[in-house]
Amino acid sequence: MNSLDFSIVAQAWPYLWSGLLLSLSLTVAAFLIGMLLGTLFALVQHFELRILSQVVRSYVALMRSIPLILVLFWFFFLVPIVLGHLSGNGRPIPTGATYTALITFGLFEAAYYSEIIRVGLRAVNKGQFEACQALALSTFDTYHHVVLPQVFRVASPIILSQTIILFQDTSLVYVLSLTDLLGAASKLAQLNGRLVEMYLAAAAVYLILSSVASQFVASLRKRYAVAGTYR
Amino acid sequence: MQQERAVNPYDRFPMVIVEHLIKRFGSFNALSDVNLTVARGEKIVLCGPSGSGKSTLIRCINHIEKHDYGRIVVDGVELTDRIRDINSVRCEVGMVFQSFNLFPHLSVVENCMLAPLKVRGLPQSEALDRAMALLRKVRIHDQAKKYPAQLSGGQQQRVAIARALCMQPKIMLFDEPTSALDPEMVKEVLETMVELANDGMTMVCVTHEMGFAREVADRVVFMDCGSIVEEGDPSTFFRAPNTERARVFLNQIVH
Amino acid sequence: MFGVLLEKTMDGQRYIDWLLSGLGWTLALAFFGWWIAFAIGVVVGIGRTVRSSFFGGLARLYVEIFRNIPVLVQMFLWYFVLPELLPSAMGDWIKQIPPPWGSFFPALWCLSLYTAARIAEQVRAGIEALPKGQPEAAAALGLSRYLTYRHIILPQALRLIVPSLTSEVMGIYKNTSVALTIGMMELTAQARQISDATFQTFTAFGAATLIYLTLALIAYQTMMLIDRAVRIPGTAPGREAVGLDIDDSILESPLPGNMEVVK
Repeated sequence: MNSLDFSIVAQAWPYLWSGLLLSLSLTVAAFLIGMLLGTLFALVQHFELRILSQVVRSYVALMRSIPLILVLFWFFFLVPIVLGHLSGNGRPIPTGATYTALITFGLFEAAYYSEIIRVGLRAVNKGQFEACQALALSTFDTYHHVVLPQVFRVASPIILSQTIILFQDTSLVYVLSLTDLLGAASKLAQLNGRLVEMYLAAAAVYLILSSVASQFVASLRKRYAVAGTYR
Repeated sequence: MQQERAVNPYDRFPMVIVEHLIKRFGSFNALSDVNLTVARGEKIVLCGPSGSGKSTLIRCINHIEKHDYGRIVVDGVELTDRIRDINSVRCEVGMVFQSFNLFPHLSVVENCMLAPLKVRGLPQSEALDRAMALLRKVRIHDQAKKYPAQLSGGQQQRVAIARALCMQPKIMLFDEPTSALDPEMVKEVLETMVELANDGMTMVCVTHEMGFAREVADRVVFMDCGSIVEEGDPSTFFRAPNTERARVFLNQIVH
Repeated sequence: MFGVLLEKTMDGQRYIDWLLSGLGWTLALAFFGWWIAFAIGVVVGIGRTVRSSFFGGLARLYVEIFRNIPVLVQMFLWYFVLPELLPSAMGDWIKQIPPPWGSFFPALWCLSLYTAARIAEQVRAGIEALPKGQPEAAAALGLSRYLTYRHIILPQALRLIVPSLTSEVMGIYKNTSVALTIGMMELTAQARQISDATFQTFTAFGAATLIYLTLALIAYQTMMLIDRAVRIPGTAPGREAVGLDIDDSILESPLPGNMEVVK
C-alpha cells in the first residue's frame, strides 16, 4: 500500500473544478428541460388527451424501465440521425457528446419529473377546481395560477430529491468520455497514477454536495409537514 | 397459580399505589401531584373534561408514559426505569385502548395468543385453549379466524378485552373504551365490562358512561387540570357533587 | 430486423448467445444483490428507528454515505481504490481474481450496499407510518422491544412498503448496467459489443431494450403478486391506507399501472 498524498488533489483542483462545473451545468440544464417537458407530459396525461396521453405514458414507462446508460448509448446513436432528418438532407449530423448528454438527461428526467407532477396534480383537492369554476376562471388560468403553483410547492421536496439523483447520475457521462467531475478525476488518475486520491476526492465532493442538498430537502419537508396544508 | 397468589405477601397491600405523581409534556403539566390507591377488587371510574390527565394517569400505571416524579407501585412492584420491573408489571396489568389497537396482520385468535406464547411462554395448545375460552366469554369465538379489519368496532373492542385477559392480569385499565364506537355498539362493550366487574376483576376505567359508573363503580374519581378534584361513591357524586367544577362537568355530559 | 442476432460471431457463437450471457450476468447481479441489499436494508432501516443514539447515528451515517455518492463512483471505489487501500498482499490477491469474477464481486458488493441504503429508508418510512397505538398495545401486553419489532412492527411495515420496494427492485436491475464500467460484460455491454461488431446498432440496442422491458414487466407483476399475497384480509389495497399526502413512496412507485401499453 502506497502512502497517500492528498496534496496532489490540491494541485489538480482547477481541473477537477472545471469538471464539477460541467456536472453542475448538465444538472441545471437537464433540470430545466426536464421540468418543462415533464410538466407538459403530466398535463397531457391529466387531461387524458386520447392518443397523446397514450404516447406519453408509453414513453414514461419505457424511460423508467431501461438503464440510463443504455439510454445514453441510444441517444448517442440516434440524435445525429434524427437531427439529420430534421435538417432535411437526411445525412446524420455529428453532434458533440456534451449536447447529446444534455438532450438525453433532459428527456430522461422529463419522464421522472412528469410522474411526480402527475401524482401532485391528482392530489390537489377537488374543492380547488370547484372554487376556480365558481370564480369563472378559464382552464388556463386555473392551472397557471391555482393548480400548478400548489403542485410545485407540495412536490418541491420530491422534485429536489429527484434533482439530487440527477446530479449523481450525470457521472454516467463517463461512458461518453466527457470530462465531468468523475471524468476529470479519472483522466488525471490515468495521467499521474494517483487513482486512489483522485477517486476519493471525487467521491468526497459528490458526498458533500449531495448531503448538503438532502439536508436542505429534509428541512423543506419538515416545514411543509408542519404547514400541513394542501390536503 | 391460585395457590401462589394466596401466599403472595403483597396481597394485603393495595393493587396500585400512586403517590405524588407528576408528569410533564414539555412545559405543560399533565399531572400535578396525583395520589390514588386502588384496592384489590375495587372498581374505579375516572372522569373529567378532556385534557384533565385521566388517560395520562392510567398510561403511567403500566409505564406507557414515563412519569417524571413520584411513585407508582403495582402489586408490590415499584415502577422504575428497570426494564425487568416494567415488563413484570405490564404482565399483570391489562390495558384496553380507545382505538382498540388490535394487530391488523394477525387473526383474532392470534391477537389473543401472541403475548401468552411469547411473553408467558405458554405451550401452543394451552394458549389456544385460553384464547378460545376468553373469546367465548366476550361472545366472539365464532369470529376467531377473522382479521380485525373484518369486524365491527364493538367486536374489535371485545377482542381487545379478551386479548388483555389472556395474560390473566390482576388489574384491567380501560382508556375510554367506548368513545371511538358508534352508539349502537357501546352497549355490547359495556355489557362485557360489567360481566368482568361482576367476576371480581380490579378495574380502573376512564369513561364518560355514567350509567356504567353507577352500576359497577365502587368509587368515582373526578379529575381536572391534572389533579384529582373530588372522589366519592357514585350515588353521592352524581346526586350532589361537592365541587363547582364537578357540577359544571356533570351538567355538560348530561346534555 | 433481429436476423443478425442469429449470425455467427468470430468466436463461433451467435450474437444472441452474447446477449443471453449478458442477460445472465445482469440477472445474477440483480438477484443476489437484491437479497444482500434487502437483508442489510432491513437491519439499517430498523437501526434508523431505534432509540439508541449510537445505533441510530451509525445507521444514519450508512444511509448518508451510500445514498449520496453516485453508484458509478462507488463502483470505482470498490474496484480500483479498495485493493490499493488494503495491505498489499490482500490487494494483490484481489487484483488477481480471474476476469468475470474480478468484476462481478466488486459490482455485486457495490450494488448491494447502494441499494441497501435505499431500502433502509423505505423500511424506516414503513415503520414510522405505523400508528403509535401498535407499539403501545404491544408494550401493554408485556412484549419486549425485540418481540415488538419481530411480531408487530416488522410484519406490518414490510407489508406496507411492498409497492415502494418495486421501484427498488427495478432500480437494482437497471443499475447492474453501471458494472460495465469496470469490465462486467452484462446486457448493455454485450449490446454495445454487438453494435460495434455488426454496425447493426438499432438491432443490438433494440434487443437489449426489449429484454429490459420484459424484466421490468416481470418485476412489476411479481411485486403485484406479492403485494396481493401478503395483503391483510379486510384491508383496502395498500395505497388507500397510506392516505393522499404525496411522499416518495407513492411517487417512486414504478410504472404508472399501464405496462400493457408498452408490452
